[in-house]
Amino acid sequence: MPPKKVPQKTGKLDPVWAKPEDLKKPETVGERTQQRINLSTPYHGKDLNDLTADELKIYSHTNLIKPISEGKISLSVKAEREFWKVVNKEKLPIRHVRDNYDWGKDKNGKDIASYTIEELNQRKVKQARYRALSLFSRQFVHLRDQAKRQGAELAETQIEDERKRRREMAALKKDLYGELTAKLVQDPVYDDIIPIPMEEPENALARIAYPDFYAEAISYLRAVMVAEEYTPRCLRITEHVISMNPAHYTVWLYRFKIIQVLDLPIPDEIEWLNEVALNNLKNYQIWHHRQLLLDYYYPKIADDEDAVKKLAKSEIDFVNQILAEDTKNYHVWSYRQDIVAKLGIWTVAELGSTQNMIEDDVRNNSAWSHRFYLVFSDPSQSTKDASPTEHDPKVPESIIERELKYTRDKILLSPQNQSSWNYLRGVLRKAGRGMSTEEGFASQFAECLGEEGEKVTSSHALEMLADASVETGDAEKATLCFTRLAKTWDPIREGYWQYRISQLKEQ
Amino acid sequence: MTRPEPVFEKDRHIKYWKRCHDTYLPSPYTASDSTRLMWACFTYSALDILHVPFDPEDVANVRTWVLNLQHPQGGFCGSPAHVYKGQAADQGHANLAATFFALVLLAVVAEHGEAGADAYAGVNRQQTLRWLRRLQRDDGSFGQNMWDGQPVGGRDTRHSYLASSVRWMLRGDPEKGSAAEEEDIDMESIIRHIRRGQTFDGGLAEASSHESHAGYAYCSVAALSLLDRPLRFSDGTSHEAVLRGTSDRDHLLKFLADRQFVYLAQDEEEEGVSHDAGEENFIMAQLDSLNIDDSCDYGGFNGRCNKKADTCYCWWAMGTLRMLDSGFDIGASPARRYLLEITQHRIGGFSKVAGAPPDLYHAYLGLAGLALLGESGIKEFDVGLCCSIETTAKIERARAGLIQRAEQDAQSEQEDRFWEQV
Ligand SMILES: [Zn+2]
Repeated sequence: MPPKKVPQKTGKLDPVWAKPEDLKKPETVGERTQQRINLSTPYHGKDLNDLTADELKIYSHTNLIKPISEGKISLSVKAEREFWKVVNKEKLPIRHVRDNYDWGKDKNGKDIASYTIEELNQRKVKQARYRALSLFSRQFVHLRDQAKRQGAELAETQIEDERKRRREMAALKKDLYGELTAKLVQDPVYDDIIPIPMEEPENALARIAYPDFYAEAISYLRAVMVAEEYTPRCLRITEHVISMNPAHYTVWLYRFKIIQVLDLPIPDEIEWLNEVALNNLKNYQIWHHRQLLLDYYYPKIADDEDAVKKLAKSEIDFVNQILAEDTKNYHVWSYRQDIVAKLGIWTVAELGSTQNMIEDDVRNNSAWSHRFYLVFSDPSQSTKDASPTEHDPKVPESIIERELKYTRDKILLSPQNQSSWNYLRGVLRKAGRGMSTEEGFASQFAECLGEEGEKVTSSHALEMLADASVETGDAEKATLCFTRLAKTWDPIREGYWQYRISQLKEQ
Repeated sequence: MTRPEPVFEKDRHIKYWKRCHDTYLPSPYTASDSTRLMWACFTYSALDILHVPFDPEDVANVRTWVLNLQHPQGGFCGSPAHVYKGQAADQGHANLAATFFALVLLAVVAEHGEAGADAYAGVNRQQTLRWLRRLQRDDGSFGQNMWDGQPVGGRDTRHSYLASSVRWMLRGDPEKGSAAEEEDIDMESIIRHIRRGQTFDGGLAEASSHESHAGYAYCSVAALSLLDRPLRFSDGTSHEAVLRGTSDRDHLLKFLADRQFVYLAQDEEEEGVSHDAGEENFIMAQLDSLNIDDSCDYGGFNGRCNKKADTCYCWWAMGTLRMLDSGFDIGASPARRYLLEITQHRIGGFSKVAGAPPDLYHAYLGLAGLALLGESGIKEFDVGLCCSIETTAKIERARAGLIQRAEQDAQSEQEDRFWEQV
């Protein structure tokens, strides 16, 4: 137990003062404030008529001395000396806790008066910490400027310390006041950039509710682009902008230029890009950027067969990783077709990998398309720049047979799958063979046409039979096929089938 | 029992577009910050085709905003993020798509009749046409913007389309030797480039090595069609470039006709929440699942073979067929039922697929698709420029006004010099 204070006997006013130790321990900051108000003004909250004589005396004295002690009334030096002498002698209370004190609210709108004492203490510690950090931060700027004037630079460790400091300050600021600190401001390496904000009138069109600090990031990007600065710190600005707006049409070009100017290793950039691509599956710019990187990098390693092979493998591995998540991603497949040509990936493994994708999903038209390209544009077994729809005598017969067999097998698995039928037609064109050469195969999916018990399991087979008949000049059969498609087996395209019939008549 | 006719909820669409007009687009649109001109154009053009008049003050505001995006060396920047002011003005980057949308938008809000002759006042026609030529590469393709003096960006036919459109909107046919005369883009190479894009299945792509795609098919054919287009659209269009730029027309028609399919609503519903997984297809796996009674209820469209139905491909596929003068009709009533009963959204607009929220892109192209189907309550539509025919007429007038002014300016300048010499 703490030693009890000896009550002061001398003052006449003692009986009316509440003793702090008699009071109940306050739970909140607000309660404590109220207690203090009561302590300094014992008459507080009471009706004047209920005051004891002593209380009344304090009340009147207090109100008399207040204007003077608060400096509202100025006295001559002599009178003031006299005044204080009396105040001292009578032990009149000259300090008051204002009874309208406002503690304010915290970031969550919670009244600070409702904090516990412990919570308030913690808050005060944080505030003190923030002030101390600001001081160090200002000192950092000062030291850096000084160093600069002497043509020197601060050590990287000092910069890193400042970076940490600003991160802590930002966290404190958010914690204490709910204020967010822009990302780039937190890093001292950007201190000398004067951002160029985008100008946006109040009534701008197609306004977007930008995420926090998008405008800040853009304004830094604008500043360094105009300054034509190509440094590692700019690379980080581009990364920051790309994370919010990967479709920005010049940030990628700028980034590419930084890489060129700094002669940064392309494999590192590709590795970075892999992450970005995995997070933005549908983005087009990423793949365009990758293509630029490859166009730039390939000539540097073109003479090194092993390096090219290694690159081809890592590229295909990554493409496969993306396609595993998004099997028909158009940009990725397009990129794949482009690198097959550039890096010469006309391999059995590549053919096998499309085969696997077709096994997984026989309707994956992207995989079928890629296969067609691989088989019929392979420079070792096709005519250079041949159109994909023309007969190419350079394609070996064995390849044609292999592809026909492969496709027929897939059609048997799923007769109503148009991808494989389109592929079959494509192979026939390359082979210079007519549709009628597959009439026998197609017939099994369309039996008893126009008769009792008509059974069609593939409208695409029926269409092929029609085309075969057109080829052989059998207009009657062709008309029958088209009519059956229009009326029963593919009525949604009735207009098209009727048009095909009308074309027959023209011929 | 016959099913009730699907209803075009015009008022809800108007409400949707007004909301887009009045409020901030949600933050996911940040990824399209560089194409804000497109969103602005869709918003005003949608209101236009739905017969909503514009407030004159708003029109002035549109003009100021759009012209502020113009680059001093021609073309328009995609958004304020790409524009610099004052001394650094040249450092911005004009973008081909932005330029297309800027020119359409200025016409959308222009006045009808002679008063609209000033709609392109402030547009730097000469610089923009010269910039357009710089964007063309030797292989005939177009880049999307200039960078270090070179055209950059992909070689796909979106850029061919945009270039061909900007050319039609601005170039006109000034008299030979007149001040407004500008050298043309390389017509032979743009056609050759597009022609190289036909794939083994008859469709079109950036290059024949890629997978065929209805979106690229539209861009390719529309690019050619706009090369063919006379200065006055109402004079009818020849098919010279379209014929030269498509190597196998019959095959292309088949590819486009194949884009429509019987959409099985039940299957997608059963698929449930995963509509964003996106790549499942709802084409009948087997013919026998086709039920004659309701088989043709819904006609969805995809952009590639075996892909899922998506609102916008109704527009891309039907629009392409229209420009090719296909000679046959696509399943119009199933298409309409698909748009109105599957992707037309309760709060207005259209979603990409069933059950998804509406977005500006599909909301606009959904309307465009309906416009092609002749929906009443929507203005007559220009399948090449993707705006109302009225807007096209305003573009023609604005272009004429621009050329006339260029010639007059040159003349008065000459007169000035004449006096200098005296
Ligand atoms: Zn779409």
